[in-house]
Amino acid sequence: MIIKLIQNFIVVLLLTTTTFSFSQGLSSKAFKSGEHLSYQASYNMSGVLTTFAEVNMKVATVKTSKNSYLHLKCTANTYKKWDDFFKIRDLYEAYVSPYTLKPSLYKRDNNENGTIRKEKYIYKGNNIQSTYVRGKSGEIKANFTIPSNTRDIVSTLYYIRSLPIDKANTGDQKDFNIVFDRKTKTATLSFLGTETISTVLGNKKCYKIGVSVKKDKLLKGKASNTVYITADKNKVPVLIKFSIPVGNGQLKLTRATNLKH
Amino acid sequence: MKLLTSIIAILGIIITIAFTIFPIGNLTIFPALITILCGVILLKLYKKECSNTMFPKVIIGLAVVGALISSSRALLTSDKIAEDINFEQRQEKSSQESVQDLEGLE
Repeated sequence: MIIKLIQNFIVVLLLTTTTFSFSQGLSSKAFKSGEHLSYQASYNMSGVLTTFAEVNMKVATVKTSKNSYLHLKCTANTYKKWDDFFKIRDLYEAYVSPYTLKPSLYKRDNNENGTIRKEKYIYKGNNIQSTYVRGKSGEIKANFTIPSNTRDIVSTLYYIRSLPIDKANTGDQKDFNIVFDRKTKTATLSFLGTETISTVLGNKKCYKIGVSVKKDKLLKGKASNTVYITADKNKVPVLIKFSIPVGNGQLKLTRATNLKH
Repeated sequence: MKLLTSIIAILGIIITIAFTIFPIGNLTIFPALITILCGVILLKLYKKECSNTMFPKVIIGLAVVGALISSSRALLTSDKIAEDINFEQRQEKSSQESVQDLEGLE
């Protein structure tokens, strides 16, 4: 159950930080190659927040013989003190165009207490060539189609950070599509206004955004799942609060280096 | 009363020990406090009956030790992730394979 909880937690982290859009079209980018964000994940146990994992998000440039891509990498590691009980080493990656942030490749490589989950999506227009591994099964290939403007969770996060959130009005809502586990999910984001919160970057005015995922048992209510994004040019997600059927928790920014602005 | 308090104290000490073993030290304080409270009540009841007070004393002692171990561990141990060469290698391998996949796309 704990493993499932942690797994859900990571999914929630990614979903809550990756589902926001009130307007189409990119404005200036909020991040650059070399950016590194670290988060501390905590789970609420009987009213006491217990820390259990570190989540890192890094941006790097990758060059092939013909093109350049942005490599967006998200890793989740349980703290040393938890490793003897359940050890999580999760890796989520996306390779996107540095100009449009359109993904070309998405990879997921999870090892949760020995349970392996791997997934690879190669984007070809509205088709995805996927390869996945579940547990001890070998590689399984599956192709499927996605609605246009559907992105994986990692590239969506960075795409969202590049959108003009400042132009949204309180109460504005927007749906958009995320592909995860070879299924397309529709996420609804609600702009709940601004709030000043204490962060590792100092007291920051933040955009408060409610997140819910349609037909998803995990993230139903918009009020209980909120993400705070700094109301500046960097648009850094500094705090994510979530509520799932088995409890609630939060993800707090602990370190931010190489911010663009 | 004595039986009920004893049951709560035993459950409390089991939970205290379990929480002491698991790295959720800051939570141990709740079952430990309940156990100590039950232990004190039992101690008074046993003294009133002029019975052997070993059981409540052991319960209180274990709860105090559990709470101390967990609290000090929570205070002294910082949240750190272990160096994991395997995970780093997995990331490196993935990066290399990704470049090949991207080359294949072009």
